[in-house]
Amino acid sequence: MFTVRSTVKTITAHVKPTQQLRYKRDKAGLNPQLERIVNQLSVMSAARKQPRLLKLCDEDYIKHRTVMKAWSLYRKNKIEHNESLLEKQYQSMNEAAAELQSINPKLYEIANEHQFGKRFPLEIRTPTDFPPRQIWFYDYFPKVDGSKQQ
Amino acid sequence: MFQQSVRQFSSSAVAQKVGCAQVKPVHHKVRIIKKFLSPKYPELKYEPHDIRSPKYKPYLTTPDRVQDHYFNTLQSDLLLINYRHGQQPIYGNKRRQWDMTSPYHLNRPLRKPKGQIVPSPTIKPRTYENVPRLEGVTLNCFVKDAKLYPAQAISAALQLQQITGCKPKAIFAKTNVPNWKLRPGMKMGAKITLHGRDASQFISTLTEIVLPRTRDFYGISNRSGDRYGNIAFGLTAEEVKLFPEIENNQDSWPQNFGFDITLHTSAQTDADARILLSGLGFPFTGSERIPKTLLNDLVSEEEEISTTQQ
Amino acid sequence: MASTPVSRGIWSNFANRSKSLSVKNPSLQNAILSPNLPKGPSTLKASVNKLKYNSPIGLDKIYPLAYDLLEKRSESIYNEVSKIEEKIKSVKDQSELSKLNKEKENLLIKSEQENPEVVFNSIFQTKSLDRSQPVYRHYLKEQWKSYKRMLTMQRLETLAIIPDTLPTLEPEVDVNLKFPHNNVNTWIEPGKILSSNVTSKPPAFEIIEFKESKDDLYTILIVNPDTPDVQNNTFSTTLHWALKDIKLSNNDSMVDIKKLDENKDSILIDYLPPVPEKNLGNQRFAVWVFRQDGKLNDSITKDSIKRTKFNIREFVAANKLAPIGAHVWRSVYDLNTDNVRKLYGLPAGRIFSRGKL
Repeated sequence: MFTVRSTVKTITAHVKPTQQLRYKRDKAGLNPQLERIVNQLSVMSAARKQPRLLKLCDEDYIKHRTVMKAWSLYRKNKIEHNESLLEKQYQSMNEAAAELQSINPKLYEIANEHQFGKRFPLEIRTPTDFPPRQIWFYDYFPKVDGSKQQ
Repeated sequence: MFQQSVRQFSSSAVAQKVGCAQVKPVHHKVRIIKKFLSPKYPELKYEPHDIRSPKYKPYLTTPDRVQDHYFNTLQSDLLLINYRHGQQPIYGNKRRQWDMTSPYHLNRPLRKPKGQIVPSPTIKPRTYENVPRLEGVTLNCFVKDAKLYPAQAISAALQLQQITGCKPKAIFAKTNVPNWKLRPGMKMGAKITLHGRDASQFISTLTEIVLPRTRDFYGISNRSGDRYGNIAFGLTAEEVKLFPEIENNQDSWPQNFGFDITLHTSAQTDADARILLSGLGFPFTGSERIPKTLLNDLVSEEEEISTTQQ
Repeated sequence: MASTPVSRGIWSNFANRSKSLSVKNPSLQNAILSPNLPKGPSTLKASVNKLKYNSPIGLDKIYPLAYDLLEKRSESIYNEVSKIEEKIKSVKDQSELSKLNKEKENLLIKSEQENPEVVFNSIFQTKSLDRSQPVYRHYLKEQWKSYKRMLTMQRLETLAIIPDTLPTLEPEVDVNLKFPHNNVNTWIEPGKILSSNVTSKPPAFEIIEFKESKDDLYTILIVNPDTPDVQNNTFSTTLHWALKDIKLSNNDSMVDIKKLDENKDSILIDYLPPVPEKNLGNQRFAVWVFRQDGKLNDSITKDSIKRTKFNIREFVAANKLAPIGAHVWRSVYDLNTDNVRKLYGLPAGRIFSRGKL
């Protein structure tokens, strides 16, 4: 992929070096353009980013393992709880729709129309750790006319 | 006919071929992994999720805002929006059987689907098990000028890395176009597919910082999409400058490169995917076209009566 | 820094749980049950390493919470176990009973599997594990599967013990083998070539069961499928040692001279040491371990079995033996073989040559 040696080779065809760099591996002899490319490639190289292996003593290894097990168990419980909630919601939606169908078919038809084209409002925000500087726009009204935004 | 002896463990290959087997038969069912038998490199025998392994990589180290937002707010709403009582599966166009009029039809791969080459998937009723979710984001940066100036492919890759914090892969030209001086194998840019937290991080930067400040951006086109829940749009070089990673360090970026963004969702149709993405903060614009087949996914009244009579 | 121990729930209660589910060494136990390391890393040997060592940041904060979560889960599993125990008392149907017992064992494994003390023992103190505990048997089985089982099956296959002696093997037990030639406690690696001095006295076995077993009966055979049969221009099988009705349990798994002396009836055929002929190459000696479903028939005695031209497949079928484990070693003629022959009063060995006989 992106390696210094292969790229410098292909690129030197287009950029003429100012001096021979046969035995020089450092960047000192490169012209600014090549130096820039080498810099860019070295930023992307993974070699320097490999962190050192963490060596734990046996007791701490057991503790770490315990923590990881508990953490995965906690996440599993959370996912299962979430799934059960969704399932319950689905069941009650099903029941309510069936009941409406038997009580009032006309309302049922309106309620059961497809919702393609529906959008969450643009004002919906992904929650953050801290509230925004202006908490609430009191004089805000959403645009409803045929402006370009939908 | 051939009869399998008691001591033969490999079955069909032996039964159908004339001659002798080239692989020595094995007389037991225990799978042998040679790595574990060798005394070399004991640390490489650990599972990658074991902290003693050199392959160990910490994961889920920080909270994921977008993911939390999806599970706390969007998921149950999406279930409600997509739900229709009495929804039926819309069967896709699948590969067909041969009619067996010719003996050559035996063991032939199945026939192409009617009117198309690739079979289309069946669209199942929306339930709590298939609520759409964002699965990943692909950034594809193809630099036209890279055929003349190969260094630009590297700059483009570095730009992607700067924005996403992940390592990009190079993309190469595939075709030979003599007029454009394009030959297969030329390095033409870079791409990344982001998953999980990286994808969430990218999306929140995009929807909260970049898109609101781009001029003349009214939203992703409602016509965009590959029919099966993947929506794509593009950013120009000017818009890329608005990413804070680049904006705060403008001197180092004399040249910027636009790229295409594909949002992969698990939605079965583009219409469902757009509803999900609007909840994640992507605006949509233009008129939306819904295929007719998608609109009639309920049991029709006549059918219902006929089934009850039967 | 003063440390308060982690939660003292079900995992510190030994009223109904075996004492073997805790770490024996008190300082190690203290280290595992404290959020931090009160006396430093005691498993590190060198004092330089001890001084240099730092625990991961924040581990002491999160560990008690993790311990608590897992312990509470274990407690709920123990409640399920006690419910099943109640059920077992009332059920009399045999198949139902075995199903419930199996379920109980699985739950017992699950309840202790993540106990830090148990995990410590089963990773770092494997030699002194209490095999009557299901959880230790579970960890031992995993360990066996990841190395010893693969090694044994590979050697049995490459040395063609299967199918030359028995057609196949589905291993269930770990078979270990050692010879008393020196007092060093060394287990023989499967397939090793041993000198005749080593094999001159009968070996001792360790048969490790991974299911619950109490006074199960086992048969052990040692056969040599490489005995030359010059008349028919082939090889025949010789029976070198046969033991029957050997009683073993989870924590009593050794088969040695001491045990055989106590019940002499279990020796079906006396030990014949390997005495390979000169110029005949390596000879394979296969150890087969079988589980019996009851006592072996009394009609099978020393006289009814022939040592030479022994048909192991016939013997296994006739006695309804289930092969559950195997081992193999190889012997070759060496300078000491003639001494072993003299010791056991065997006739002088033949010398084979390349020429036609």
